[in-house]
Amino acid sequence: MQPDKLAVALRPRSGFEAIDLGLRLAQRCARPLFLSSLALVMSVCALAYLIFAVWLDSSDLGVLFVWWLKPLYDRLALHVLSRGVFDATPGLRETLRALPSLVRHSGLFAALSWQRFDTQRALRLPVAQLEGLRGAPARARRKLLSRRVSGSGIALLFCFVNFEALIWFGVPVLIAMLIPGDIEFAPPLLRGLFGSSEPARWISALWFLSYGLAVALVEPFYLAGGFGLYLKRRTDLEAWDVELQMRRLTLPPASNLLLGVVLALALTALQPGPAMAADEVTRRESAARQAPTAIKEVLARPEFGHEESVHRLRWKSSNEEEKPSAEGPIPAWLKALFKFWAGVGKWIAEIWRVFVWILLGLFGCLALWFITRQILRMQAARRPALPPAEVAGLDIRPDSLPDDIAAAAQALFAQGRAREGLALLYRGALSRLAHRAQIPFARGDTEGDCLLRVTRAALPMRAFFADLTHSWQSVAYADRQLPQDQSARLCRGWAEAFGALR
Amino acid sequence: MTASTLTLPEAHAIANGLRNQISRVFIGQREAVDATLCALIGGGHILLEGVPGLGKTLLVKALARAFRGSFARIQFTPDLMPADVTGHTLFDAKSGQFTTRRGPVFANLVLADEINRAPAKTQAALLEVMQEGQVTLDGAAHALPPPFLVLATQNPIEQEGTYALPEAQLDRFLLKVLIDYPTHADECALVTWATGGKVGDRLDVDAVEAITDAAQLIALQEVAAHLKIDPSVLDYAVRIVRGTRDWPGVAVGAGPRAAIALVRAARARALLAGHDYVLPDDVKAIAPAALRHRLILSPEAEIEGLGVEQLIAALLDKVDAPRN
Repeated sequence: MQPDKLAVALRPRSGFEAIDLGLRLAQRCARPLFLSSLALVMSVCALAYLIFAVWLDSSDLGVLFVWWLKPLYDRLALHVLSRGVFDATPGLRETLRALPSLVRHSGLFAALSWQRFDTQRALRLPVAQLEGLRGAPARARRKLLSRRVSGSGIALLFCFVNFEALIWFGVPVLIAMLIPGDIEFAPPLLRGLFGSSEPARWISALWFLSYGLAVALVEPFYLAGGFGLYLKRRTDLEAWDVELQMRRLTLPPASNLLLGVVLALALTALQPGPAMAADEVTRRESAARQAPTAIKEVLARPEFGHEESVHRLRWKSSNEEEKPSAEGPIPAWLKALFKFWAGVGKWIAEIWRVFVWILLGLFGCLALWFITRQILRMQAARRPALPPAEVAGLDIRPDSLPDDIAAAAQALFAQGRAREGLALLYRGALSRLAHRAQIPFARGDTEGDCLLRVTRAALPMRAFFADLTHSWQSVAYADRQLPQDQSARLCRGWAEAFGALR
Repeated sequence: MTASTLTLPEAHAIANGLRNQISRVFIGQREAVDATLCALIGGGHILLEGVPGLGKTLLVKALARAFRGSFARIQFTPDLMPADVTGHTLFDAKSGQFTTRRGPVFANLVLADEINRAPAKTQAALLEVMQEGQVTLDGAAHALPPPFLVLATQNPIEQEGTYALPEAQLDRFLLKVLIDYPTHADECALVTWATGGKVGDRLDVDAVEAITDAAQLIALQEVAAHLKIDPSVLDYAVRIVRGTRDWPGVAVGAGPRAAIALVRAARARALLAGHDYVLPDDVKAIAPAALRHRLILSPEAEIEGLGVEQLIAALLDKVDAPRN
């Protein structure tokens, strides 16, 4: 590391100042940073759309996949920023060419698995990618870097999560605002997003596009903020700013150097003789006497900083508590008592610690269970419901019906069992509609409800089904006899209307 | 066509004619019109709930005109006394005798406007009349002129200073109908009709023609009462009512009177639809109106924000349709 080659001014900064520095750096490297981010994220989005939305018919899982791969996008952004900070910003092609190497050598597997929910991902990523640390040293290093700036890191994540959501939802809203009012855009979009059925393809595509845009635009800024925090911590820990100042002091300007050489030569030429030794001793003693005052004067100059009084609250240390009070030493029995209660307190604290960890574990399991259940429910809701076994008291399972329903009904009519024949035709029609045409009949549907559902589905056999329903109602509920010609007509009509739905 | 014997097509033609006549002035409230006719044909009473200004008085006036019936409107207020509703006797100094002055309930159609504004005693007087079909004044029973239909209204938004009807009294209404705002197109037609060449805001039902009379209406009720209902459809109605008693979210379900009301209203609806037998669809369609005022929600359901309508819809989805 060569702090003197950094293109940013190093000085002590607060956490949020450091984030600002990172964002400024991102603006400076904007072109390769955002172009590479857009190229990578949109490619992943397109892939996820094809696999999840088109092939697996589950666009939510696709969005989750794009979100899960964020550590991959971060690596590319950090590659650009880490070079930009030395004023050597790489080009787009060079950046993309570095991607395979970044995937292999930057601990991506850990970042995508057990470190995926790290709330300070942007701050800690340079440990793996730039410093190349792994295992225990990396853990210790991450812990050290996070100290004092963890709050800023979490706040950074919170802000950018919200920015991302804003853009994600904002893009469809913006499109909806720009589209003329007579084109129906928002209602199908909302139905697709929040309804129980799988959204239409164009809604899924728009959803992926807006999410990809949000990630590609926001993620580099988030990473840059975290990188700013990383630079701040390195500056604090390794005193880069002081080191730079020292280097500047040890490298005097050329004119001073020349003058020094000339003076050294002159002093050598005018070397005094042994007669002046006594004066020299006197002069040294005088200089030694004046030295403390001279040192104080020098130290009081602005180059050596200034005094500042800072008042803050701090915990009393245990050493201070043990100091004997002015009234006399604490008796031994009281000390023992304090020690005992301190031990009890620690014991209780340990129990609480274990309890809280167990509680957190349980909470995590509960959250996991809840999320899984919700996902399963959503998937179940999107799946077409299985047709009921019975509708209006009639068994409509296909295996409960004969193969040739029209012929079987005709045979029943011929035997004078008109009611049974008509029931078979009606039952068969419901079965075909439920199992073949996917009409979502419910157990509680009456004949009128069934007819309404078929009407809404705009099926071509609607007219025949209405005729069949009315015939069935008059036989079932009014005990009417079905005319001979009507039964034959219904059998023929049934074969024509439902024969093809096998 | 005589009043005492009506065939089904004649009865259907009269019912349909009444519907068409009322719809000429009471625009865009087809459901409320049908429910009112169901209550009239079923020989019951109806509780209308809706915000002011939706034409409830107009509905009653139009209906009264359509069958040449008498009409009375009672505005319920906190100081309304039972005698103001039923009537009273007073001493006539000139003749030296007590004379009976009949109250406004002595009409074929009575509009009890904002029934929940009057105290319980006055409400009870009207509800007793509704149940008995007669008024007792000074020990003498006076029969009300048939057909007798009470349309009571409630305003759902102003509950300050009202006396909620007790459940037992709500049970006496055959149906409870919710009147909502009409659609945009219907409201345009309504405003066009109400403002076309008319001065002031007096309710004008001149457009309604009288197509029948009270005697025919009674015959119509007879036809409806004798419509065939299959035992499986009757069983369906009873299962729906019984289902309310142990349905989650319902603290107190509907009683046997609800099943009776449901079947009566379903018969009337079948007549309106023009068939001579009752379908399960008739029962299912009229069930919300017949049940919504007879259920008491549990506190848990109210906390969850569930309404009676949602519970009834869920119940109707789950109760198996008739088995044949």
